[in-house]
Amino acid sequence: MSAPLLELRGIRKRFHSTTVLDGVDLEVRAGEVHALVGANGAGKSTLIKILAGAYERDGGEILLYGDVRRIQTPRDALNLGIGVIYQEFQLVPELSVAENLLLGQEPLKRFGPVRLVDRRALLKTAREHLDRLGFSLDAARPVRTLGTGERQLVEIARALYRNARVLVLDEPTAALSSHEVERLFSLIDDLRQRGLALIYISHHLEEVFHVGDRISALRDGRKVATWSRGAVTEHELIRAMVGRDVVELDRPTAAAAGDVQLRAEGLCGPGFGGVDLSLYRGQITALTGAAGAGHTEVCRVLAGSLPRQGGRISLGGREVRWRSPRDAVRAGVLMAPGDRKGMGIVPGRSVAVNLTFADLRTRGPLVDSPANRREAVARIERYSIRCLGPDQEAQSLSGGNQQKVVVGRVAARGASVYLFDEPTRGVDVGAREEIYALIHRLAAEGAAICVSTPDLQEALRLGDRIGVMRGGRLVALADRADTDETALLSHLLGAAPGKPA
Amino acid sequence: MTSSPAPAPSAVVRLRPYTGVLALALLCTLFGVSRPTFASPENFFNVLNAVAIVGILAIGQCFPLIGGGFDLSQGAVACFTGSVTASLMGAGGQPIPVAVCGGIAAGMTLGWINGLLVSRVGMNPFVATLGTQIAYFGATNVFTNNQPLSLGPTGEQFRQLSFGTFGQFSYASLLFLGLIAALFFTLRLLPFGQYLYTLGGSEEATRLAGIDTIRVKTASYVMSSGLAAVAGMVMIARAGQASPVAGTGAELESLASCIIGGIALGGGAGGAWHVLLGVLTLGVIDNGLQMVGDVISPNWRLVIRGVIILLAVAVDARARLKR
Ligand SMILES: Nc1ncnc2c1ncn2[C@@H]1O[C@H](COP(=O)(O)OP(=O)(O)OP(=O)(O)O)[C@@H](O)[C@H]1O
Ligand SMILES: [Mg+2]
Repeated sequence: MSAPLLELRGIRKRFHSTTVLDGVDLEVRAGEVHALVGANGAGKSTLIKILAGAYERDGGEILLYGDVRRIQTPRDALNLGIGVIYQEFQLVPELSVAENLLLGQEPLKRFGPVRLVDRRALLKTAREHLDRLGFSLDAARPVRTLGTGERQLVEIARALYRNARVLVLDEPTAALSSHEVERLFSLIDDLRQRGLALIYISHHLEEVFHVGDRISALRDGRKVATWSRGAVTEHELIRAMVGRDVVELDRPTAAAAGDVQLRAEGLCGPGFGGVDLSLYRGQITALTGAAGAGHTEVCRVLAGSLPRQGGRISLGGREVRWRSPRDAVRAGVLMAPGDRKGMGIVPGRSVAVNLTFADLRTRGPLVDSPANRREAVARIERYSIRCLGPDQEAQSLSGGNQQKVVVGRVAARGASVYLFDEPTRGVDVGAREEIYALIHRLAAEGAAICVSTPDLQEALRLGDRIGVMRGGRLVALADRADTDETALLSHLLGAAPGKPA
Repeated sequence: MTSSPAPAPSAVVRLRPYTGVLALALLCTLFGVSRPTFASPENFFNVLNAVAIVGILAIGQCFPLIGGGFDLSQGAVACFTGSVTASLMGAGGQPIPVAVCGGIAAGMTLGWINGLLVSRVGMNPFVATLGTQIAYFGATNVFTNNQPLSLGPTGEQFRQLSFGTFGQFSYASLLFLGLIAALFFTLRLLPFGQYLYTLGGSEEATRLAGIDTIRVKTASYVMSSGLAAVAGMVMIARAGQASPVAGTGAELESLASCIIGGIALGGGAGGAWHVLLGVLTLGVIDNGLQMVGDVISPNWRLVIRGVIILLAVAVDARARLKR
């Protein structure tokens, strides 16, 4: 066995008075993928940020090729060949692929005393690099026009351009559709063969077993164990992560669908068109598709968050024209947004405020603070949100717990239609089941529900009916009983690559 | 780096909530030691009276600031509404309450225009309120024909607003303190206050929750201009007439007070306490520098102010960077 390329020893980190990492050891060999799992808030991202120099550590050391290294700033980490692909992308959308790739290392041209970016050399270098990696990306395209999967390729290419020897992927598949995940896996195989040391973080255990040569589980800031693949079962791994068994609650047979609650006819909006879709009371409709296929946008238009560009929406048989989300909310149509950073969490405000501001309890004209606080505490409990308390800043919660705040804020309000955009993005196995149960309960209470998700498994788990979107069109809509993964996948990919018609 | 014991969070981070108070205390000690009269009760009431106008403006300014914008038209609004009030009282011969209400209504209308430009038209607050600042000063020129307006026969009574006292407190300083209390109440206890913070934190999340963000935003500018109108009245009471150039640059003073107090540009944070702190800090600097005018030339006033503003913002930025 080769010596570890990267070794973390006894890493400790505290935020204020809470210990988030308590002496974590982790080693990764060259040519190995080390999968890291753990429940929301276990400390995975914190560990990675320490490795990347984004957080100062309170104790422990980092060794590369057996030597203790000093990593205190992101620059130190980059110079040592440590590349991190965070879940939230770090690219500049307005710049081109090439500019993003070489950001900070642009080739320069001298004009007497001034030095300008040599744009031709920039493009050439970027193209050569992409060719070498075998990525089919147009270096001149602005990143803003790329889909999620392609952006991720740009991030990986950028890390490799800086000669990364260690590559960390923090929940890389969270926003990818099934075939993009396949492509990522073959890329990972390729990188493994080149001798990189990879750390792979994911909440999807099937992925973990697929790519991980070794698997480590974190729980409450400590490492529980490291196994080689094959030495641990899924069941054991879940136990190690959450400390208890997670039962897959299957839905008590789908209730007979009630009346149509919300109907869209020939609906058009940004990035999609001609969508006919009815949401029935007591039924869950799952919309799936590749990133950018339009399922998210359908939800947003139905919730008044994006403008309707054509077609009709009717609610309870009456036509409605939302001018803002407020109109939709008042009519009883609520959406939990997928982009939690941009549209979900209110940064700088507490968990309590984030959970309750949308339906403030008031006494006369005044905010009833004690009542809101009690409600917040109850919601923290009900949605199993892991936090230091209701006053913790919501932004500092782990990704999955932020997601639970966003979903909880919406689910706790009464509505006749709920739209969930990627409700389990970044959520751990245990909490995922809780969110599923929650959505099932809302349906059982008679709400009409639409869930948009890039994950086929999730669509099949949740949906009574499953719709597939491709290139902005709804290309299939079937009852769960009448379809399966293969059929959905073929719709999703299409006979020929989908083009918006 | 070796595995050293956990270092305490850096001093900057731990002290940030108190840096404002500490800075103010330090300034007071410095001035107090060098000039004993500085520490006298009379001087305390002096400072409070001197900051009343800027203070009221700063109370108004903090609404758009917390909501993620700001208001550059405050000075012009104060000037315009001062003239309106004066002409109602002087030329119009209206009783004081009518003139006051007229002035405040005029101010709120101008604020409503600012609010619509920012919230409905979607203009950048910098551009929108810079534009209206120019237009509102222009409107004052038209309205007053560039002449100072007298306050008329009830003027003497009205000037009590600035010169009348209750105990040692001038009415103006009491007005300022009362409005600080009202600000505290509004931000803490009214839903509007709560929404203002979430609006400043994330406009889209607030909008999606079904809150009428356009209304909240517009209201924040109405408050800013309404309070600018109140400040405008204290100005004319103090000057004994409405000057067509009064209030020039006042919006920068109010912005500076808020920022020194720790209300960040970009919104979502800060409160009544921060406004009070910022206003007093600026007031103490001005007052203290006057007292030591024989040692430090008054010409240094702006330099010192600028440095203090930069320090306040720098400490804030450092605290945010360090994690
Ligand atoms: N800046 C911060 N201030 C205070 N607490 C923080 C901060 N950042 C993280 N934490 C806390 O540290 C803990 C670990 O968070 P971390 O993001 O590492 O979890 P994670 O394992 O990546 O979870 P997830 O799977 O949900 O992404 C959480 O409980 C979180 O609340
Ligand atoms: Mg994480």
